[in-house]
Amino acid sequence: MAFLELKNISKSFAHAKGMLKVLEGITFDVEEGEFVAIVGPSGCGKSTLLRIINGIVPMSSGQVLYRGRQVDGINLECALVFQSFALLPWLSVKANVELGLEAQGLPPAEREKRAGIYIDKVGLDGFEEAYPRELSGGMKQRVGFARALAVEPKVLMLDEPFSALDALTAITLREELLDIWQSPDMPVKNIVHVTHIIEEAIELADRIIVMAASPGRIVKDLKVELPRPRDRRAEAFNALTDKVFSLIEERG
Amino acid sequence: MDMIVWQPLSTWAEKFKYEFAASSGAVQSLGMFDALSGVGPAVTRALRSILVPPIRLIGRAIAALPRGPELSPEQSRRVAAIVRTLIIGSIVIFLTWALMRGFIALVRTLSQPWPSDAKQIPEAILLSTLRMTLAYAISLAWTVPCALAASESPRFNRVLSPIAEIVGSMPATALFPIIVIVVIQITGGMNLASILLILTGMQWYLLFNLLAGINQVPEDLKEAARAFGLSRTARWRKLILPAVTPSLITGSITAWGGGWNALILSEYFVYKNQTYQVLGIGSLLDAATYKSGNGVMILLSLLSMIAVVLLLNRLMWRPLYNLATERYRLDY
Ligand SMILES: Nc1ncnc2c1ncn2[C@@H]1O[C@H](COP(=O)(O)OP(=O)(O)OP(=O)(O)O)[C@@H](O)[C@H]1O
Ligand SMILES: [Mg+2]
Repeated sequence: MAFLELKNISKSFAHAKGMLKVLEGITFDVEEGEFVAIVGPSGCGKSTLLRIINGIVPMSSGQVLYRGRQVDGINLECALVFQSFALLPWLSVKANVELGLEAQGLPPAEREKRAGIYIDKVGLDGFEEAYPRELSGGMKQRVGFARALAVEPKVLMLDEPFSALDALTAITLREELLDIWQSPDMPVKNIVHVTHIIEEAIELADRIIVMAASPGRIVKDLKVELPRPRDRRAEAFNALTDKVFSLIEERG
Repeated sequence: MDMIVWQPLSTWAEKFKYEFAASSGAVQSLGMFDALSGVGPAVTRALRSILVPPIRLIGRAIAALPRGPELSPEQSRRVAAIVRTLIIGSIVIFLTWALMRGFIALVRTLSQPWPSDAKQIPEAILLSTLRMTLAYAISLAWTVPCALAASESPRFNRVLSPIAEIVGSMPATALFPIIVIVVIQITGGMNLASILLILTGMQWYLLFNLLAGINQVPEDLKEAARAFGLSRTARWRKLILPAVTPSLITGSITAWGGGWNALILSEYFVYKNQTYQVLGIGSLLDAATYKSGNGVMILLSLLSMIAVVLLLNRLMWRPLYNLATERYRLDY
């Protein structure tokens, strides 16, 4: 039994002119401990797929099994990190990180302690009382990560978390993400990472799912066998990049 | 001509426009000043369309006259400056004179013996403000839950918005006679009728603004709230209510404006030769205007009402607005 099983998922949205088919026949399994990247052209339904997996967008047909069970409603063991950070501007860093803890039934003192731990882990020690608008983009996304990690999820779901950041900040945060995933005291087992940056997917993931648009579908599911830490300048890295590029370009 | 009159005039109008834009950050002026600033550009436009054709004719005639010695650019600029000073100077003198006249008239009216009704003004103000507050509380009590329901259900939102638009755009004052007659017939209470009338002048502004606020809550924040498992009440408390607070304040300011407007008509009502009234600043004003024709009383009621409106704006709405736009701003 796989950790996550997606079975023949399709999704249509109501549009001005009838229904728009956004996803069709999405089927794949994720094994426990896997870091999966989903790449594909803009509009192919990557974000929608991610939201179907954690249950905040209902699918039109198909099935998502989490550890062999179908989850009713929202799967709180999947925590989402947003491209736009999606922090509540009127809440302090600490209150933002505590957002998901009330739902877990933690008492206030416990929430505060837990938030503190993860604020430290993402390197924002001392910024507990700051407000999002006082932070740089990189720091905001650190809050986004802390908020997701604080619920101690089994699956971390990333929707282009580095796309709104400058290149240098993105590099640092990618490294930290790998550290978090590999660190034994983190409950996070799996990461599902949506991105349109192919190099990012190859650098981070065990496995890359390549999608095409109209309707969104899987065109290739390939393992990344490169040893970690991965060197972006290595020949094998570039060869794989070229391969994924051509897979995407082929389908236009 | 352009240089002398229109340029200064349009910079003057521009200034108002600028203040209007800047007021999205902090309210520069609330109440009557807003009306003025909105009117600035329009006044310039109207003046321009009335004045430009004859002036252009005169200009042509002057241009057709035999030419005197050529002026250097320096000299013509100086002439323009002198002409401009003359024109502005005379306008200022005229305005000062008009203001003085008005002020003298005001003082003369107020220095007449005050009618005995004047003693009622404080109590009337208090009662009217109480009616306004009650109507506002009723408005809040149904529009806020409505807005929350609209935030839960896009379908309810789609149904409610156009209905609110149609009902809200009906002239409420046209319904006054019906409301008053029905309410008086049923309960005999003019007080209740008055509050209901104020309500019709208030509630729609509040509902419009709240719905607009609901529609502005960013999709990613709503997603985050759901993805992290917030309960419905937690979602309202942490996301929806803070996000609509600025709209709520804006809506409240306009609602109170509409409320005062309705108040004047709501406390005094003549039907079949019978007068229905309750004590309030609106009924004092109406009685003075339609019955006694007492200028002092009209002026006193008007001034005290303006004073209350300005005080409320200064002491309550403006600080609240500043606080709301500062703390609950949606950019981050
Ligand atoms: N709530 C919605 N209602 C209607 N259409 C939607 C909705 N959400 C997404 N879509 C449509 O579904 C398609 C896929 O959107 P999605 O955001 O999943 O793509 P994406 O692959 O994440 O794109 P990008 O790389 O630009 O983020 C788009 O055509 C989009 O317009
Ligand atoms: Mg997307």
